[in-house]
Amino acid sequence: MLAADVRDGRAAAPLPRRGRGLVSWRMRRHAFAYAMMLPTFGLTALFTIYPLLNVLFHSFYSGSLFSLAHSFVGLANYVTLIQQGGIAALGTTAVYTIGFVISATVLGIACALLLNLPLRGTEAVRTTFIIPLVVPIVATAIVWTTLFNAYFGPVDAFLSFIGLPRIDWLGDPAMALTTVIMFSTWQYVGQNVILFIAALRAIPVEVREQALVDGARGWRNFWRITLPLITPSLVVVTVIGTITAMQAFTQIYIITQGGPIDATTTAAFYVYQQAFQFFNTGASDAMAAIIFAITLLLTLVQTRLLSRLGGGGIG
Amino acid sequence: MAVSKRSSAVAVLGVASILTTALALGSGALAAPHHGAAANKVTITMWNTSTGPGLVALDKTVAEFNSTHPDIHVNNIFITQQDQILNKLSTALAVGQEPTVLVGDVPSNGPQELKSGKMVNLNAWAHKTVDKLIYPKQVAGCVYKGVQFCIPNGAGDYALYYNKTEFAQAGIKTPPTTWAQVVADGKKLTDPAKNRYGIYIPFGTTEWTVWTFEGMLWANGGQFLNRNNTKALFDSPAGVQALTVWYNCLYKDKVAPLTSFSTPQNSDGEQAFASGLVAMLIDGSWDLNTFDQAKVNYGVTYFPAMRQFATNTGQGSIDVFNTGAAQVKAAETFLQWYLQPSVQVPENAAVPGSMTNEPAVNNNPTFIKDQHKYMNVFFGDLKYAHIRPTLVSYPAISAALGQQIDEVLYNKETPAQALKIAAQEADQILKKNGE
Amino acid sequence: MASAAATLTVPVGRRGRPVRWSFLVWYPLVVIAGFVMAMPLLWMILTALKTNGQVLNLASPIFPHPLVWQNLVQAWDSAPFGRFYLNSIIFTVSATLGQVLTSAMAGYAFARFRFPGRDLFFYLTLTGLMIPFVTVMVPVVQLVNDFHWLNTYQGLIVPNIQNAFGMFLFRQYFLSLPTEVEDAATVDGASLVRRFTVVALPMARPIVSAFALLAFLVNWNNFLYPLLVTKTQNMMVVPLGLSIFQSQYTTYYNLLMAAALIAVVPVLIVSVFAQRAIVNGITLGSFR
Repeated sequence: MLAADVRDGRAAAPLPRRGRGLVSWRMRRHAFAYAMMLPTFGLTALFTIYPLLNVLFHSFYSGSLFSLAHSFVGLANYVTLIQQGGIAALGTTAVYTIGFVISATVLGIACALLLNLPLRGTEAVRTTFIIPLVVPIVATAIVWTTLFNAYFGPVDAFLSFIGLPRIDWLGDPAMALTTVIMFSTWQYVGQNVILFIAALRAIPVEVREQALVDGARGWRNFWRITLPLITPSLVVVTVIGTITAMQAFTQIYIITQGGPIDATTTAAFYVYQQAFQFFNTGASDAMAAIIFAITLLLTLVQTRLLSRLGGGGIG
Repeated sequence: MAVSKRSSAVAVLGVASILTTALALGSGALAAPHHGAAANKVTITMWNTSTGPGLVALDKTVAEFNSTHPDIHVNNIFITQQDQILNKLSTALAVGQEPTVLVGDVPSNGPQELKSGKMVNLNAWAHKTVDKLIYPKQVAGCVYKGVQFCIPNGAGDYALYYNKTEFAQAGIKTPPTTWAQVVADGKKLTDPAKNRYGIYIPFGTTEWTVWTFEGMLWANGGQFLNRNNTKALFDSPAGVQALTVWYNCLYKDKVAPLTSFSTPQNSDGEQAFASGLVAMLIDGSWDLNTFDQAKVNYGVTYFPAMRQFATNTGQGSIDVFNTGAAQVKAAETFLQWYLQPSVQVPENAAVPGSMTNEPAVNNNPTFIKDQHKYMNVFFGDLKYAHIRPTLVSYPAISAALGQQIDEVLYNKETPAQALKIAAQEADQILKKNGE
Repeated sequence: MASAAATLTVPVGRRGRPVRWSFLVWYPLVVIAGFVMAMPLLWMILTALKTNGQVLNLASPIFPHPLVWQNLVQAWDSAPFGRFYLNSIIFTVSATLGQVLTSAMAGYAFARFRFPGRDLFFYLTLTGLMIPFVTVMVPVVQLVNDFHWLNTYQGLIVPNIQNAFGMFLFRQYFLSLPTEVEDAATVDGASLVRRFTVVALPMARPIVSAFALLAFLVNWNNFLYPLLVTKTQNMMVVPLGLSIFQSQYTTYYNLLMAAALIAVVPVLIVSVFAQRAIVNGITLGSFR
């Protein structure tokens, strides 16, 4: 990965060296980089990595929510997971993550393109996209359940008004996960739109001019020119979207409480269940460790893979 | 390109962040809570999860105590909503920041909370003072392995609400007394085209579903666990029959709606009854006020019988944590004052649908007069009430059983299958935990 | 220059004249998108102005009649929201400023410099996002307690001064930014620090603004962490105040929505203006 000193295959112009020689210059650069990175990394190391190691460690111990006593049990917690619906939870998480990341990313790009057009209403509509981010999730999730209520909700009322059959959005185990994905997408797409619009508008003027002069239209314009240029944003959106989806809990808790039965019990919800319904912190730590491992793997894969789409050199 | 403009922007940013941080740190120092000025005054922290009229009444009562007891100050704080209390309490206990008193816990958390070693054993004090004011069965629900770990606070059972208007329209003269009658009435009341059903069956994997199922079980003469609490007995034929009644309401007789109205906070399905979707609802006295507000023309009758009448009681609890000898003593003084009927009557009379744990209060004429007119039904049903076992395993058993009941209610398993699986899981849990 | 760009973004047809018919396709989509986004907020407003009885009766009419403005007053009075607001502002502004600064610094370091362990540190920082908070909450609170920061502003703010998402965002942005301008500044004699503060950071203004807005909203709505580190009501933040309407007996939906509106309206107004500024800033900023 030669990101910093190489750009589009061209080496950077050699810079004047200061100080007493080669070693000192490089060390000053390193020192500067470490210093810049330190606040973020230092605080992360203290307040997240250290507790994270704590969790990984405790996943091999038995424990309960209120007790200070722990005893080493090796892989017993992981075995419990497998026996008590952990695999199903991971499967549900996979479906949820894929569904959410695809919808939120694709709709994010689509809405960003749409709202980037010089139409008169776009600025007002762009404003509505931050509503889901501003309003507390406890309120929006409750409203969502009311809107999608099978008997009284306006969504089903609208469906029957236009002649389509009513759908049991939240009560049908087959539909419930989709409804939760829809909520999460609605909630999250505004963030993606903001980032993609920023990326679209950062495309240099010359590139846009050139494309129009060349007569490139519609899809080809998008695929060949626009998409590669917004790839850095695409990487962020996809990676962060995946990480967020793997952790999704609050909206599931409010909208379906993991139900119907276990249709929306994702791994993160399973973690909560084990800790607060079964009081079994060993099992919840084990599932958390699994979530962590999978998320890390996905992140590594995605950053390497996606950056290649943009022409290499990034990621 | 105004480089100076941009660097001044950065400078402004930097100064702003420094100022804000300084303000924050300064205010942080100022925000430190004062402790009582008087030298001998003991301050205790009390957390509550009360809301609405209950919170208003509690605040008023505590203020009265503080003004009449100059040597004790009870710092009453609404800490969070009830379903977040485990988050807050577990972290507080882990760092030694627990309150002295917690109002709004539930006894089923107690055996687990005892493991923290910080709960006060109330035997010595409570037996001599407040326990005799409270229904004995409820006191027993707060005892685990001989240790009383909490004091019951707030009680409830459930009965059957029915919509008088709907009943009149369907030509039903009297409310049902047995489940067979519920089904028969339900058939007359159900009209899917008009979004009308007979009764709401409690979907959801929360304790509510299990709590109401237990009433069905007991009404059919079944038992939850065996006498020694070593084996589950709810998969007996009585239990299977009881669960089958619910299943039939949904899929055979079709007198119940097929969707869940459960929320994270409660699963009783109040919205279904308030909206007129169902004409009957299993619910407790706390929703009397709700349906008054929703302007439903309702009546209340005993929880329907099968072989006998039964219902379930549940309660909230008050915990005391060992934050210091002086504070525990002060807490006991406060609680002894708080639980006397002369205090409990006015506090609970102000909260519609409130059922207390004390016979002296529930039978007090002033309380009866000021309370809701249908409270007598809930009190009457109380004589048929059973109580859940107080065990370390109970939360896990309930979670397992709730999941299986839900499988039946969503037509994924038969009642016999589900209860058998749940009983096996319960036996394993009991074996693992020792009881 | 600005007008030239505006003309250039209008799709031109073969004969060079704007193709109006395509707008007929896009316009309804824009309206639908706006409606879908705004609908839950509209529903919230309607719910906030009903009695709780009307809210619980799902069959009651959508539009409340009469409008119960009293709910807003009652919600405000139910808890010390004035104090919650002050705490939220202090917490959110400080945390957001901190996150913007530290993320920009770290993102710049990861993008522009090759130093030993760079990729390791990068991914380690991201790991912070990968574990469910409920499992780490006890160790985190223990740490905060060890610093004697429970129930203080520093306890709320300091652990939230970093943001791995922001770091990632800035890193991607700086990676895609050509180094010519910075190199020119270095040739002119700028130190490393000046390269960052005077040259690179101002060029990152679109991302700074976008991230600042997003971070502000996330920090404003943070519920669980403040719940765990505050002990007294005078340190609580607005999201914690919303708990007061949710009970195990009945949820006062109308008051909850009213309180959520009180929590939201000022933030929404600020966000609207901020977003307008971001977008305009972006448009202007792209003409370097």
